[in-house]
Amino acid sequence: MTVRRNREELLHDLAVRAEAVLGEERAALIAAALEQTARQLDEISSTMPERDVEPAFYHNPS
Amino acid sequence: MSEPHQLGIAEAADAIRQGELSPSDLARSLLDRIDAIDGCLQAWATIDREEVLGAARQREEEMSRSGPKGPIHGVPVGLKDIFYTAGMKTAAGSKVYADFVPDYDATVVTKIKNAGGVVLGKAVTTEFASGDPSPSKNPWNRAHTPGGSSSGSSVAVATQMCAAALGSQTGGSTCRPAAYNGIVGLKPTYGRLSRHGVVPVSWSLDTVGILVRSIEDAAVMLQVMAGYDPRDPGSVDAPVPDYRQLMDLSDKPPRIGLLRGFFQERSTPEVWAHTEAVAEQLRQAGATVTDVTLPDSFATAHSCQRIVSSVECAAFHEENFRDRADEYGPRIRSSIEMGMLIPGVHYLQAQRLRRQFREDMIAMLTGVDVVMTPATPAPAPEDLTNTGDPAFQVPWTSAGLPTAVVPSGLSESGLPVAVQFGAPPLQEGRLLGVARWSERALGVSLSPPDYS
Repeated sequence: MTVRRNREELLHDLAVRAEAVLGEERAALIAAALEQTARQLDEISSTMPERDVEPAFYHNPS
Repeated sequence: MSEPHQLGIAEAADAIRQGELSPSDLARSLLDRIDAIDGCLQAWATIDREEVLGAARQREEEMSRSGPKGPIHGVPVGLKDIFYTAGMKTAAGSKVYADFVPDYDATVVTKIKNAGGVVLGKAVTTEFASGDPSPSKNPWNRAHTPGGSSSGSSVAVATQMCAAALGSQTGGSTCRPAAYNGIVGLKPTYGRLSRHGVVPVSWSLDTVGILVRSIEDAAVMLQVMAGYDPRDPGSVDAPVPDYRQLMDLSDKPPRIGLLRGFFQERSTPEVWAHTEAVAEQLRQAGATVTDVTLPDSFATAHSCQRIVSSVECAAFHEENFRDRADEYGPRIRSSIEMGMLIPGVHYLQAQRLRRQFREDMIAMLTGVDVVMTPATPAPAPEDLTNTGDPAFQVPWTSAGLPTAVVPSGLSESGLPVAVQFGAPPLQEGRLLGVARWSERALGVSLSPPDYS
């Protein structure tokens, strides 16, 4: 079983990954952007789409 | 007759067809206008004067030999510098693409040429059509942002350096600068205009936009460029209607839904009071104006757009970014980096939420012809470190639905304000019809200070 990660945990995950991918110095410089992204991820994590909805890479005319 | 550079697209094309104006005289008038004022406004990245005059002369010869090639014969059009132009630099406002010269034209550029149009030049864009401000200046007040990312295209149209220019919209990059500069902006349905040969920001969001000074001209440009393109995987394979005919059919008092909620809360008191005054003016002119409620799925629309845009932007730039990250501006660099860090599961959930949101927005639009919002939360901010707030465009871009912005007045500070109309997918005819009816009912025509 997995538990939905809250905003702080999402931010922690992003910060760890930023250090690994971009380096410590760059990760520190983009701290504000990481916080904003964590907020966005938290927002969409808390709103699950309906089960049958598929991704919308390209829109079909309706 | 007006000076040639003052003419709109339809007027100029008519004058050329009637033999009252030559393509060369029109091109020279626009080039002289650019020479006179662009030093102050910095709307243009590349202008090849001889190339433009050569193309105009060719149109003259075609005209005398076999008549007009199409509806914009001999009329110059500006292109945001992300549209591929064969043999002409397409730098996308970036150091990374500084020397990029495509060997083919974007599909929409080909369509413009096939309709008799002339490429006037490449208009300044923010770097890779993202959030780092460009050097273009807002002609209404140069201390205020002109918006972005289609900054040069909007400034050029507002100041009569061209009658029409192409922009693009991934978040708010066509309709927001249109509003900030006091002109008309049209963002068609996603897939209605081909993206083939357009430097991408985000494949599933990018939409080619139109910047003009009247709704009539927006219809002309849409007609010229609309259509299926198998080279664009997102292109819509649907017939292209006669937009001017559909506009005429919609030339009657419309049913307008006024969106409050988020749009009212985010607007300054002045902008919201103005929007209500516009709604009242349209009601007085015969429109039915009712309140319409946003769907619950609106709550995540902005976050979904950011997540999708960042991830797709990171994927496109991955190769260049490995070695040249320092050559990217701070905002796009940060966006690419966020895209590299966002887990794939979240990207796909954002895409699923987008589809649900689109369906909810289409359902919201039943019972009205269009919905109306302010075009922007406030007039162009006095801040040249960013391009303003795209929050009122993002939901429409994310849902892939068409919108049009119509100038509706001036703020107390003397800056343009505008309203935005939104419609169901592929209903540009209805959208433009309501926008033209409203344009006439409002009777607002804005001209910025003259820099000549």
